[in-house]
Amino acid sequence: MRKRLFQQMLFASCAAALVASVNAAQVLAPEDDEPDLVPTGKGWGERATPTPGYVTHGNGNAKPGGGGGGSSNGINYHGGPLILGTTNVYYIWYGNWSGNSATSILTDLAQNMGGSPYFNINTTYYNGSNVHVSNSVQYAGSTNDSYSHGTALSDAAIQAVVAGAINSGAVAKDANAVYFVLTSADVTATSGFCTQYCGWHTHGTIGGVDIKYSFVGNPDRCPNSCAAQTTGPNGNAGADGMASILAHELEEAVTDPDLNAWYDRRGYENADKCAWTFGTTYTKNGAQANMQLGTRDYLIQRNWVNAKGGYCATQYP
Amino acid sequence: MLKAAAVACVVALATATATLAADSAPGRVPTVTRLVKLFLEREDALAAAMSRGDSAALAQTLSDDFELRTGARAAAPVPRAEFIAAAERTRPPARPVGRMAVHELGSVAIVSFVQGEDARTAIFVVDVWRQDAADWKLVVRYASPAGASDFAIPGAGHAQPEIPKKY
Repeated sequence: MRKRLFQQMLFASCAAALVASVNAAQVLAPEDDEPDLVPTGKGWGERATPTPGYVTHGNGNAKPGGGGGGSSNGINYHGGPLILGTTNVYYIWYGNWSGNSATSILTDLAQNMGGSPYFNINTTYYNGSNVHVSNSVQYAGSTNDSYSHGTALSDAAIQAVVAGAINSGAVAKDANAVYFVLTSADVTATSGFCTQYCGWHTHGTIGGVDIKYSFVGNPDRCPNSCAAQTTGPNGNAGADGMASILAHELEEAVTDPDLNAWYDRRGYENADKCAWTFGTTYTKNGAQANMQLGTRDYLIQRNWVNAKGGYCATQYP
Repeated sequence: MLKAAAVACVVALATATATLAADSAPGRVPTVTRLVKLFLEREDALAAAMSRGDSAALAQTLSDDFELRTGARAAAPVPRAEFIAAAERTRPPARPVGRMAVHELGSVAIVSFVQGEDARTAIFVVDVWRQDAADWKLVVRYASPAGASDFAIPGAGHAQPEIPKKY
């Protein structure tokens, strides 16, 4: 009798513990409770302009600190490094780019991004010592890769392309840089290009150095997914589409190079919070544009300003 | 008997705890293609309509020939009217939509995603949307438990190592 009673108590305790653990799991699910964002669904949150009269805390900066804690600007610092000082940009033109004006359009972009009011948005981000990102980008060089890994690139193949370019000496080995693998329209990335993403960034150890690199595919392959418009202000829909994606990845790579610095409680990095929004546009060559960098016009997505409560913008201040 | 029950309890708790730990890990950045953004919003609106039991909103979203097919009853589809009635009756809470991919095939979009963050209750959904003038209508939903990554699925045995990355 006592044994049976004990069995019943054990069963009840076990059931109670399991229920408690299930409830705990539900309680631990992230809450989408950022008060300064207008929710547009589970995927996106943005605010077009700073809320008038929004009260900022302290100096208006988001609070540094790990764990994705609260922030006055809708984005949090998680303790990791940022790219500080001048950010060098290298291009690896993968596939066949001969005769394509993309090589001029995107090179001009990299050469004129630094010092722009647009890239200045990134200076609102800083590390744990309050050292801010510099509005300084240098186009440091490029190389061509003629299908060394075929036309369907895995994530590992993309890293191998970067490693090959560095190890061969075609581009310098540079820890303060972002390497972009830019693929021609006949090349895909097998981990979800066109169906999940248009580009991504990450980092890896190459030759003993922490190398930051990014993949940006050609939207000509899937214009409905990865191009904002069917033409472009520079007359090359694919390259003009890549410009916005490239800017997106660059500003994320600078403020979250090792995936452990600036992002919000949903995992959104600065550019994610403003993806596919462009602000005020004007017409150029029959296409929409929203900013001039150097002598060219581009349609580039807005970026998240980490000040004054946080907001999407094309320039700062 | 007693020993077996105790062992089962410990194993079940350990499993639940491990799942909980995995669930509470920070998620990856969501996808950013234009179509993913569009359908994240559509799916979110659909889930919200279901949680409100909003039959008018559901009727506007679902095509006339909509049906739901679940893995457990693959040959017994739930027709449109029953789906709406069930939503009105049960008002299922809206759960987060993640890991979405969109394949666009002309005027049809095949949208796959995982709904829910708890591995034990998450659902893998494949929605087929058809373009209807300037709008999209949901034609068919296939849904089943998301399951575990080590569950044997033919053709899925040689997954590439996943390099952590952000979009």
